[in-house]
Amino acid sequence: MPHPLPLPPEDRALSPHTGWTRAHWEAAADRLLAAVRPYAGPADALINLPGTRPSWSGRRSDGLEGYARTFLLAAIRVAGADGDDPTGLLERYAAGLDAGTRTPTAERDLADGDLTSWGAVTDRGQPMVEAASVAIGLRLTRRWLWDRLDPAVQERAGAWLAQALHRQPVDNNWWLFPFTVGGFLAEVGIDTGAANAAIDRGLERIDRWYLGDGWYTDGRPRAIDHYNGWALHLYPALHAHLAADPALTARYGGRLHAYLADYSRLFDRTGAPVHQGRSLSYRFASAAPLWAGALLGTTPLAPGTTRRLASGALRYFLDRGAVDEHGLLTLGWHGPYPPIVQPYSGPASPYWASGGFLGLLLPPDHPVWTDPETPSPAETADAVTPLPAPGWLVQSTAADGLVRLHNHGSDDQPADGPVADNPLYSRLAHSTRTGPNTAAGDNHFALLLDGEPTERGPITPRGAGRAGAAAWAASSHRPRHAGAELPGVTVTSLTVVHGADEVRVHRVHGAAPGTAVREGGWAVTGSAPATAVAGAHARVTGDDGLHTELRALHGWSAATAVPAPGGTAFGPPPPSPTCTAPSPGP
Amino acid sequence: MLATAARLTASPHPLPPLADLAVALTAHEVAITWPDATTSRLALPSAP
Repeated sequence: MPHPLPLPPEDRALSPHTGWTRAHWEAAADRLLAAVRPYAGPADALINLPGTRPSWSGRRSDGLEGYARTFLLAAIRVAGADGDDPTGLLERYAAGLDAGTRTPTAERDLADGDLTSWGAVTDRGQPMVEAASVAIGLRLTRRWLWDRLDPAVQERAGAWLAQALHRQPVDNNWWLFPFTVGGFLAEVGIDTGAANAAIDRGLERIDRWYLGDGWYTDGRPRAIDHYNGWALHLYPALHAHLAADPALTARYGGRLHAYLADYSRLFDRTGAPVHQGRSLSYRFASAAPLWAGALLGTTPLAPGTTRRLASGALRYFLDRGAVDEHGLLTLGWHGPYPPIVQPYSGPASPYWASGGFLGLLLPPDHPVWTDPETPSPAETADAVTPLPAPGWLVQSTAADGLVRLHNHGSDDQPADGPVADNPLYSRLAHSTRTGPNTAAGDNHFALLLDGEPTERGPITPRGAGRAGAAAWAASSHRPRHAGAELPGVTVTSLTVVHGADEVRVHRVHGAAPGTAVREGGWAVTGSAPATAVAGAHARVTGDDGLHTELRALHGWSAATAVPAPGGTAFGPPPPSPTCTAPSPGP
Repeated sequence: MLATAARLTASPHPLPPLADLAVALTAHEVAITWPDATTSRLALPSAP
């Protein structure tokens, strides 16, 4: 699908996999920045992108988000060009910084007629998030922007940023926002005591969440998702790089190195990252940790593989409707897709993807730009990779370049009591070409009580490993119904994979004899899917030849293909293969 | 005990039929014969 960002011709000699080079990244950045320009408010302080609804933080915060997240992109673009700024990007963002910080306000909307003031940074308020992007932007462009500001503006902007050092973040990756603000303010000598304390606090906090082998949980006991890459690794790595701190580089670069060895397996040959977890509208922010490894010199990936993966992700989304007819990033995966949009997201939220442009900080003669692209792990050979720390099992096949992520360890459930399942976490499996369909119960094992499926709730990982050419991962959970655990009932689940195939085994303890159970297979999408059901075997072929099968092996009485109304982030409604059976009992 | 075989693929090459996949389950072990005739044998996790 052609996209509305005019880009240079492909270079298949340098980039045989994607055709894209540094020139494409520069052009994409320029086009994205030009597209938001018409939506800048007075004095360029707020950038108010159009949208059907504001975020839960209100329109003023959304406008600040528009400023901050695109400033990050502008800063990377200008810093990566060693200050060359032919369109005057930094001049406009400097003006916005001046105007926005004059009279910080608690007013959430813009109805009071004040169209320039930024929101004050408050406990757990969205401006704290945006302060981090502003701080990185200022740190990256210090020579060309901050150092040239009037001292009064420096003082005012510094005071606005410093609020973040003294406010309470949400207890997850948000601790890295004061950390990031602290990194800049310590460098420029503002509130240095609090700035350094915020750095120490941020690192101490994420150290608590380190699971080992390069993986973090994002605050909650088992919230493992893309925030690993685009936050928990990115911010410490960027700080270590900008501070030129050897100890931090060794510690956090070492973790990033381990992470990238696994993470690089989660990209499809199409360029798609795995579709799992929250904030998926950030799309090619998934490239940020790849570049961070190269920036820090702590990556297991060849330079040509780093670019192949990063350019693949950028191109995947731009080719599939991520940008609308006005050149604006939309809230969704390919194009707009409201079911994956969190209430905290506003029209400018997708510009978190700016971090994906981090590679532009590497000079044009760096091997990540000059080496020919080399294949990604998923297109090199069939692979099954157990990841015990997150409780995952990664399965990829070279013939189609498809990546499947079998989930026995991430649930995003809070420590203080379960909440309703989020299908972007609770599924038994996720992939680079499918998304969950809530109604179909795809990739979900459930007991059926009064016809209603149970939820998975908190997941207890039970290990992951290899078994010859196969690999496995296991978990247990206590099924939930109507907001409560079923007393005395436990399900232990095992996934074993080999090649393109998987076996799923479930043992149900404690359920009443005869309790019905159901398991869904993968939900593919398609406007005219081909469905075949025969006995214990259901098959559906959707768009692009994507094919899903589910076959009852033991204990099931029937297989079928059920409607999946609403479709998924990947396309229109398909039927989804499903097995059903009365349980064999406790 | 319940077991299914699943497959998600866009392979341009025909794969051995999923119908050729077989499992043998006991209370403590699963033995799998994959469609390409390779085999796997794993202990089942005990109940927590």
